[in-house]
Amino acid sequence: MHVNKTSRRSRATGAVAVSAAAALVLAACGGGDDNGGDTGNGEAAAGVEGGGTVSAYNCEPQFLVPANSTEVCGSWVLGSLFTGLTQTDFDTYEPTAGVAESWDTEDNVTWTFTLGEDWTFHDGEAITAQTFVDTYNWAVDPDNAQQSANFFDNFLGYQEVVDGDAEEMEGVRAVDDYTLEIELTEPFSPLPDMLTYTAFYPMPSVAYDDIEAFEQAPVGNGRYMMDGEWEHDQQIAVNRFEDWAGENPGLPERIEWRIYSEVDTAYLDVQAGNLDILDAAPPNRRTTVEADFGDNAQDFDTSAFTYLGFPLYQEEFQDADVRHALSMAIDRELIIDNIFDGAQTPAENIIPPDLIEGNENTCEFCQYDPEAAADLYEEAGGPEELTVYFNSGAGHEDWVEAVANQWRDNLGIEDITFESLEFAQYLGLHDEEAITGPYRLGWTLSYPSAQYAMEPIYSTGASSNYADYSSEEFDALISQANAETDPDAAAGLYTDAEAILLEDMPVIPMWFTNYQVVHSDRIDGESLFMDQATFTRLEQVVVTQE
Amino acid sequence: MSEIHRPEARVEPIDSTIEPVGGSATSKTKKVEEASLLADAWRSLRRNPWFIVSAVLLVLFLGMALFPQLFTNNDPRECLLGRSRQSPSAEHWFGTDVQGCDYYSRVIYGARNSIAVGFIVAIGTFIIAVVLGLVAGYFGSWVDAVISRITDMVFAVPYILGALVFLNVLESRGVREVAFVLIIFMWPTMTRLMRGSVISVVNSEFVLAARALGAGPITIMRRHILPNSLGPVIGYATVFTGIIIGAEATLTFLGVGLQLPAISWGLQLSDAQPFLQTVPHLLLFPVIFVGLTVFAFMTMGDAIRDALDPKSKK
Amino acid sequence: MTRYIIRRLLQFIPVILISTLIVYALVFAIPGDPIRALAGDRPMSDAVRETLREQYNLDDPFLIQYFKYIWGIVTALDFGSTFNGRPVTDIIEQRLPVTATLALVTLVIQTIMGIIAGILAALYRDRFFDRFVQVSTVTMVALPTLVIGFLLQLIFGLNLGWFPIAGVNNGISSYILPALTMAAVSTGILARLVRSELLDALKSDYVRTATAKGMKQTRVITRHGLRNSLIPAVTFIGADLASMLGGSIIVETIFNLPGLGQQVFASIQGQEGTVVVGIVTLFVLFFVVINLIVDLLYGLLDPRIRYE
Repeated sequence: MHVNKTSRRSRATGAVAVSAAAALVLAACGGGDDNGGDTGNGEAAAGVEGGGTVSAYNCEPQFLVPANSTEVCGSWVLGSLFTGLTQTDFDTYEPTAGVAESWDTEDNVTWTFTLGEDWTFHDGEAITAQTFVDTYNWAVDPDNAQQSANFFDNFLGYQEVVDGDAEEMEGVRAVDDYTLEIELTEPFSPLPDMLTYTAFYPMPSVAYDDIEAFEQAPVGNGRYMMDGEWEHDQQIAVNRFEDWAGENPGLPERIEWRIYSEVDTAYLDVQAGNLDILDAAPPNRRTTVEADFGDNAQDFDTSAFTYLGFPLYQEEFQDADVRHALSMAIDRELIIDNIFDGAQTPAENIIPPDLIEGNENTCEFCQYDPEAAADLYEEAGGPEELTVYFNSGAGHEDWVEAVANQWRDNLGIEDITFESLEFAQYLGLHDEEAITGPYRLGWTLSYPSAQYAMEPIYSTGASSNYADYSSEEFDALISQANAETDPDAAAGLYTDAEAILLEDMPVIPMWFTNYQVVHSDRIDGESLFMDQATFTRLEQVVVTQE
Repeated sequence: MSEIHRPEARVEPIDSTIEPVGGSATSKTKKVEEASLLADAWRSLRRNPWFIVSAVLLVLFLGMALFPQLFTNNDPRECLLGRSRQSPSAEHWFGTDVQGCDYYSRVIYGARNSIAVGFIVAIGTFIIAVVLGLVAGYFGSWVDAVISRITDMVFAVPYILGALVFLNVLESRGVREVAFVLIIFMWPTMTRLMRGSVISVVNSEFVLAARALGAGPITIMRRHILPNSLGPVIGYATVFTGIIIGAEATLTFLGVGLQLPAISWGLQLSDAQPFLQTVPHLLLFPVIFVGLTVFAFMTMGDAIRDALDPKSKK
Repeated sequence: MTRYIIRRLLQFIPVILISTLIVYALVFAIPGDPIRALAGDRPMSDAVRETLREQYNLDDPFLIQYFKYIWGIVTALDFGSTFNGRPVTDIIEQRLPVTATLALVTLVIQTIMGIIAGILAALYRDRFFDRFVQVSTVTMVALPTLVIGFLLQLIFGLNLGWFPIAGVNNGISSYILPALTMAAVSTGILARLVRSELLDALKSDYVRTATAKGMKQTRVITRHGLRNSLIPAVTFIGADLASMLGGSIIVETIFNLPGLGQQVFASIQGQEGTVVVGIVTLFVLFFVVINLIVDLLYGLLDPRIRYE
């Protein structure tokens, strides 16, 4: 979950065939949680209004097993098929009731979840605390090789199961049928946020018998249930699950995800009325969308964050002034206007602006100031040659080239070369610490929490800390925030941690991607909403014509 | 393991081993004949208006490739994002590209890499195809079997797979590397074409006659088979140059083409595609240049073929 | 003749063994860990990664991997599976008809159009039609495939609405635009081959004789001229069919056709060796058969070429 939607985006940039594969290879992202509760349709309540069928563009999922899905295409579908312990309230980006009606903790270490009693899977199997115990233990069992297993790494007993010393995690316990206790290895205040993520959805017992068969037609507990099997590269169709026990069931009676290999093709299909929703209109279409769609288009800001990181293990980037100068020499607005036709929002933060903690800090060194940048660069003795790294075939060529041109013009760096590599090879270079210059990477929030926007990328030794950044002060603030039981105090601490990042600048924040959703005449545009993880909430779409 | 079997081919002319290749007493007269053949060809070429047109175009493009600064005063690397995607104007004849560079000078400077790739690959595959096709078609039997089956195998490997592997493994991706990979994976079509047309002339009366007169295989291939079988291959090779320039663009899509900040028509074609509807001139200009290059090669090929073709010498 | 065919069929075995080995080696040689790439930039845990690498024999040396693959086929007809657990045979079964239809429609379009255009261009040499064929060939070669496809979608799909823009849900009409896109370049080349060969043939003695003896022009062309001129054309069509896997990669992507080209490309990028090898092997088989047919056609077109 992480990188990219960029993959989806890449096809957008006219990347041809690449995109198909890019989706498979690069995609990694996604986060889903279900819900979509909120927004205006809340009153739909149990009565179930709405109706009709919605068809939406999607890419071919990699996997349809919750704990194994790490990319957007699959996680989007799973979000409709499953409901976790908690869901996100998209008005506030705070956790709200899912299967769990309420939760409680004294110390952010031991958490007690009280489950609703009416929840069943689509096949009628009742959901109890034991369901979650079984699912979570199955997900971390190394034999099952679930890609998202390490989302459980702060659960007590996770390491023992991974090492083969235990069968089950000590930290997940069914106290009674409807009381689940989760014990962590250290305090972690964003747990209810994290539990909204795809990896934490419950699975029915039928899944364990034959996981491969299950994957072709997953039986979940979400607002929608599979209609038939996953038709690879064609479509995935789901019907509304009428016995869903949550507060605000889905509105459309049926959702069909049509799988496309080329986003431009989907764009034409929406124009022709063959498809209802395309949630990632190609950026190069920005200038024609108005003419092609008129009012049938909407923009959404997301948490999809793009940055240029520095390999801090290389000596020439260890001076913060060099990093500041490089950042100040980039005119983000100009690039966004001319390369993306405005499809990005310049980033002056690390935490996405939509979150409560967002937009609190000002980023002094994100302001374009070519003169100051040049002086600073010269004083600090910044490198005269640069190699810029990015993954190939995913639509990053143009903007990276534009950044390089600005560095050349503003800082006088004459010799700038590019190293573009296939994603697998690109990640390999990062793992070997063989990167020698600024590199492009991205991050999308799987679950809406300031913690997730920072800890995995910037804390010492973290799994996605490709910059090799290490700050004791930052690490300490994150730990304190994770331990803080008062949400407001925790938010303050995360904001303080972000301020350190913006000052130290281990990565240059570039922008948050802005998605353009285009739709057919059959859809009420007002009802469209895209969440932070770049998922259009299909369950709340209002169909106006059959 | 006999391939297409021709009994005649088995009968080695008795003196074939005696006659040293091209070094016999008659070689002098042969050279004279060849000279007059070339002179004839040259004479008819000069009278062919299409030859003149294509020659002028080719000289122009070669000039562009070798001395781009003669054609433009603008620096193709002077890019100002503020003037991105402007329409053609007096100041910028071809407008500006996405990065805000003068597109006319970009296209002029793009000629070098594109023509270099197109030319190297076309020549490389042509040589491979002619040699292998000639040998396979002439000798038939197991020689043909081995060559043809190797061709099949290379055919089978999608060149995109080969390109992904080779170009990812190689340190840099310049003209030489890209050309090398394209040659490796693109020779089979032309080879099969050459083999096919060799097979269709190897049994003609004049070949049989030459053999009966005791000519050795190399002489026969050079003097009789080659001139009569090159037609289709030349015809294909001239179009092929254009296909290669396009293939370079495809490689760029796949992320394994020429590496930035290189300038080439392929890179321009691939960059322009998203703007097909909104900024069509970005596509139009490189397409015109690629088109004219292909046209020049094609017309030149036709003219030379007509001039050299023994059958049109009646 | 029969012996010749049998010998050729026997040659299949080494060809297939060697080419699968080459393809497997190429996929093996793509740098980077496919399992690592699966998860994106938030790495999966080492335990999971190791399990997956083991499951797909990725830690074995190359020859062992290859041997295990071949062994699976020979002993259990197991052609392997994708990283998300779908058997390769399922994928081929689902996708082969799409690519086969696409190839067939393309073949029909380009053969008919190419040969007719070539004949007309030769008959009206240097006149309007000849130049028209030449210019459109140049244009098709110069325009990237993606652009051709997109223009067709825009004009015939969106504006005129004659054919579907994408997908395979409308029977044969789904394949018309993709096939036209794929045939665009080859039709021109084919026309040029036919044209120049026919011009040669028309100059040859036997055709002149036939014409002198008062045979009708059309009859001369069909009986004498065309037959011999078809050898390069047939060779080219055969070779072009063989290279359709490459062409179908882009065309299937643009038109959203779930065929083998799309799959092979995705699998190359995802380094799913078994899938690539499975599909490529199928194509090798196909080429070898095509080339055999082409060689047999030589004999049919030119009686002087004989087979023992």
